[in-house]
Amino acid sequence: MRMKRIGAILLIFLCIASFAFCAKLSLPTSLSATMNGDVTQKDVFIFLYDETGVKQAGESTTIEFAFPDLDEWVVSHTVTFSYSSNLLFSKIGSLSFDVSPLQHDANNVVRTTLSIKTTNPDVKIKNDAFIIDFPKGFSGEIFLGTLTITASKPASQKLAAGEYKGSVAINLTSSY
Amino acid sequence: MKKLSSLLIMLLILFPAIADDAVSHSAEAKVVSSVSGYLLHGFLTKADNSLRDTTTIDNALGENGVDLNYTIKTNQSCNLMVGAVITPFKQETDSGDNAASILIDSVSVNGVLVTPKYDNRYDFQAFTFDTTTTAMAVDQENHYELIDFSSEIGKTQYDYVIHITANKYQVEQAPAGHYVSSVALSLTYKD
Repeated sequence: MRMKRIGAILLIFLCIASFAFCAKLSLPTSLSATMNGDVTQKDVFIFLYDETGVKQAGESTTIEFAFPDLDEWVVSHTVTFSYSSNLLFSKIGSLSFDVSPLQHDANNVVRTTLSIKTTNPDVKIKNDAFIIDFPKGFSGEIFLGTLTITASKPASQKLAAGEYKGSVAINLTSSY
Repeated sequence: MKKLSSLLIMLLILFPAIADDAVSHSAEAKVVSSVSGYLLHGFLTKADNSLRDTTTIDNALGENGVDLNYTIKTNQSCNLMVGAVITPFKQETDSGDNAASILIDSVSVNGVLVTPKYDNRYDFQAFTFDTTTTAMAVDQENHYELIDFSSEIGKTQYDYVIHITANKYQVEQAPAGHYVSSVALSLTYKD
């Protein structure tokens, strides 16, 4: 009877030893996941700021010229341009301006001129237009240059009282 | 010789036990059955509850990040660590040169944030000119100890949601293009 118990104990021991050996299964292979994402291209967007530094929203803005009550006067307003983009490829762009002078009617036209300036080395001035190297990749808001609109009246000119209207069209063209 | 003697002793002990049963003429039928152990892990396909070794997730640079459904299946008692290597998103370019990168911003498991094994965001000493150290630091930044796993009695399937987000600021500033990040998940025994 005693022998029987020892035999049972031994069998249990062997079973436990066997279980402990199997408990650590071989580890499965590593997993791999691929995450894809796209940063979309954003074409050049031009920003316009007025003289007080306020960004002008929308496609058009209004600049008011107050004509002095003098025989001869010159009035100027300057606006600032900047751009942002995120391009797949670099390109060259041209920002040009077409001015129609301030006028009341065909006989009452104020001489209106434009001048542009820039300190950005990637921007050149040619034929009164900004020629811009738009680099590929992300460009936060980059200063382009300034446009000064000058209205002037010589002493010899007589202007009728009333409202004078003019416009400056801004055109952006690029290499593709 | 030592082994042989112990084997002999075992036989001597076992033999009388069997012999004794034979003398008593009792009949005993033993049914021995075993369930084999298994330990599996994979990306869960919820439709059929199957596990896959690989998966691909698109639109991973979105504001909300992405979810990886990860599952461990086992009927064994075990303590494991699920480790992950998650690389930053790298821009795919034709030449491979000057490819931009977008860092991983956050990794969480079932809503609990997990930081990289080496997180230098708050360690200003990490900014060193020792290139060897910096390379190691960058490598370690991609390593995560995601899940400290211990199996529970009566449970064989353990589901986790691994949520990964890319750095939003860098996404906004990154050059346009296609970006890829890889995630490798592996298991190790803790003891």
